[in-house]
Amino acid sequence: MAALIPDVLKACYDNGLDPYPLCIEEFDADEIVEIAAYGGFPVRYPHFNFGQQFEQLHHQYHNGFGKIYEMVVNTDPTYMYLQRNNPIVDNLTVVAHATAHSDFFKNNIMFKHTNRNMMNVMANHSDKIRMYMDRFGRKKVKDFLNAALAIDSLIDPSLCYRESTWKKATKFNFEDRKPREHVSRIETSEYMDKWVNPDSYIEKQRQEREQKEKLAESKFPLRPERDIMLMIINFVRLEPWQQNILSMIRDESLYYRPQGMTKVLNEGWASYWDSYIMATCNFAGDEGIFNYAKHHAGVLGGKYNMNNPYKLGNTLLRDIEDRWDKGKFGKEYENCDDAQKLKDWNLNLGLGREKLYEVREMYNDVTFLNEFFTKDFCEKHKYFEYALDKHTNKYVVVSKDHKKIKQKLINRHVNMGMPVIYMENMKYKNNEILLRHEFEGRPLDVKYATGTMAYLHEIIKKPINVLTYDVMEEGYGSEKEVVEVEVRYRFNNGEMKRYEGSKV
Amino acid sequence: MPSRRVREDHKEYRDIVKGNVDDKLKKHIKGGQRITRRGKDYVVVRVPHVELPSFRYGQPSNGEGIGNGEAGVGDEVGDGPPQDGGNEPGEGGNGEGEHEIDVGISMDSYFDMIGEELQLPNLQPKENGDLVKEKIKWNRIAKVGNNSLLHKRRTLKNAFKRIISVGEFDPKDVSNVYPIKEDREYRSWSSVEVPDTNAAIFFVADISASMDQTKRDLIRELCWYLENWIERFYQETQKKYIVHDHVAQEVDQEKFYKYQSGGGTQISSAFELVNDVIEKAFPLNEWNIYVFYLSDGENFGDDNELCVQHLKTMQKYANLIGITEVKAVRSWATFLPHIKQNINQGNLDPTKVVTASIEGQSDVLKALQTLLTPQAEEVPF
Repeated sequence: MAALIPDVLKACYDNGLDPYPLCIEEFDADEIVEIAAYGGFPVRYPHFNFGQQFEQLHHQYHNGFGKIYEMVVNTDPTYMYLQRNNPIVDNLTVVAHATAHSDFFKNNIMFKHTNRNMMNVMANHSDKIRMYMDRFGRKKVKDFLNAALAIDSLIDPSLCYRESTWKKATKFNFEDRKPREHVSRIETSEYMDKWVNPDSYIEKQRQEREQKEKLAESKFPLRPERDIMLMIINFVRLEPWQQNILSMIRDESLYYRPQGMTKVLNEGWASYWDSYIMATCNFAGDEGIFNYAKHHAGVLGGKYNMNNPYKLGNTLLRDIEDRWDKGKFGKEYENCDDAQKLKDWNLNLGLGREKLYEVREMYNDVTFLNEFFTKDFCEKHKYFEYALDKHTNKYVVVSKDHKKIKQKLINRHVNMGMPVIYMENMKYKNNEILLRHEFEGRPLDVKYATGTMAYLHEIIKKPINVLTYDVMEEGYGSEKEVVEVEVRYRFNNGEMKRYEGSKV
Repeated sequence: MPSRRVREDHKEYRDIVKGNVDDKLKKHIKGGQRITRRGKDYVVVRVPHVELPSFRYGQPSNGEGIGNGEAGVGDEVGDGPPQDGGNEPGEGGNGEGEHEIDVGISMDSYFDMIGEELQLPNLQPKENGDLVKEKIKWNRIAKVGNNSLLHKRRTLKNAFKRIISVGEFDPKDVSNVYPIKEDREYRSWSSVEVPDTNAAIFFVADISASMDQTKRDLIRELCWYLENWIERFYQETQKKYIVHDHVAQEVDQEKFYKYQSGGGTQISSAFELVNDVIEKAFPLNEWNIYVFYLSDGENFGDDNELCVQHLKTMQKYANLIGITEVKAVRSWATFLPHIKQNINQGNLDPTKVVTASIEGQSDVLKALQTLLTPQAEEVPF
């Protein structure tokens, strides 16, 4: 087994993969279940969630309903874990697969600002949280930790690939900051000044400034801010340990975010490579190929199983490779309306592999699907859109419209399928917090929103408001129409209230 | 052996799920030991699962989604969410399973879990240990026999032995090694006596008009548990299904769950039939007998006393008689109170006759527990 790994790696390097150094470790079945429960990190803070993961994996594993094939950790060097009892072909496949993951972690733009030293960072977080537990009480810290985890998705995902405008999480008093008294003038000679900078212009600027000042009295931040966690860390009165826990959880959330944003592409990329190395390069050998095929079918099996991210990503990448190999792109191809000609289109360009490397570097799930989920692909794989027929209580296919299907597919991946929430105003009604849900046709789940706002209230200790829309049906029979109504939910003292119409 | 850290985290999770710790997380527990799918020898269980809330989208009201496969516009592609869900509000369509966690486990370990969780006692077969059964075991070798039973390896070995002992064996040329008649050996059997434990399970249900689909589903669920639990303790089980309206009849399993009749209700007819069948087909010293009666408790008033008479006969030979009331409407359901009264008065044996009632899905396991632990049931003063 160990002797074969360098050959697999060589095949990967020869084909242009560029991974971090790799650290391959072998474990027994029981150990691997435990490691998987902790996401591959040896030291994490104590939390029931890991125990819950362990229970589920343990059940699945010991009753033979699920196998853990691969465990890769995005660090430098990249750690991968193999299971000793798996067949050698399976494990070699995992090596190829994980190498492709490592290459993706290293080169995809979404991972540009990822901390690659996360093994140590996680261990430090664990140490600190354990220390806080000893010092301030187990239950107190655990409750706060749960609250922090409940809001850990309220971060700005663009920080994964751009520099933060809030340079560092430092604390300063925002009420002390005063706008500048300065009024801008166009520089000119004294004589011309009266005409170039007339009084009305100066007055207008002064008024604008005053308005801004007035607004600043009742509104902060002036522009809605996506990174709600950071706003809480910076601008809410908290104990230092609370601030620290929030910032640790935010760091971990930011670390995991790029992996969530590239799930389809990343898995597709890795599956593409393991099948290329094992089957096309004939690494598995004549006997091993059966074992490999079994493994492959287990992961990517099912003809119509496109809800599986491995399958969707892999199929799309193969489609891209085929199109760019044959030159099925560009204006000439798109404007051609001869069906037979389109079918036989082949310019023998051989650009497929090159294009794949470009896709791996520049795209995330949303842009990937947006650009490459074409009408042809949609039709070829027989996508359909279904809805519930309330009379018969059956799901019924309602359309095969490519555009609608694509929109729905993409919606699943925008912000990882979660609603986008902004911090609108931290001075709302003087002493309240106002969040805003960026509404795009799908309303919030009120039950979950209540739970989350309860946790937010626990952290901030001020009434929490959220502005959103509700979708309602109005009228009867044929005149029934769906309307969107602006609503505000307010959570205070364990109570959720809904305001509508003029009370928003 | 899991390490210490995972044991700690795991214990914390179990404590939260079992409600041992007073915690705010209680209201975020989802699911919980519910079967979502049944296979032949495995079940898929929804494990209890603590989920911290976060902002998320509500489920689309018309259950829309996308899929792919061979289907044209207008084709049906699946069943909708259960409509009757009166007891379980807020259940989503099957397309939105992502917030639930299902694990598949084997039937055996599932019932181990159930047994442990509900602290179900092991069922005791009747104490007639001399009951034995002859069983055939293929563990002997004979010199004569049928060609299909020829023990090829032994036969060939004998041939080698013979050739070597006469000194004609040549490892390079084995063409002279072939079995003759004396070499041949055949597989043969002997009969061994094994202690025999058989159980007969009688499921008796009311199929009169008042039994609607919801009640039937609950019955089906309970029967599945009872059947599988009892089967664990016996080498052989026979199941008999009896349905009744004002007359009783024996049916097969499928019909048992499907039959619907419009007639009235006369429970005694069913008990009479059970007694009849047992007398004819099940010698009492060979069979352990379990009778489970399931209905909504409606009966003709003067029939109740007759039922008690039949039950008195029945309790002499049965290991357990379970009487379950499903979603009873109190003013109509006179049967169960009558039985309870008789148990309290000592007319019926409380270790043999047990009663339970089910209101909804969540009561099924509770009913299973009450039915199978008779001693814990209310003992008469």
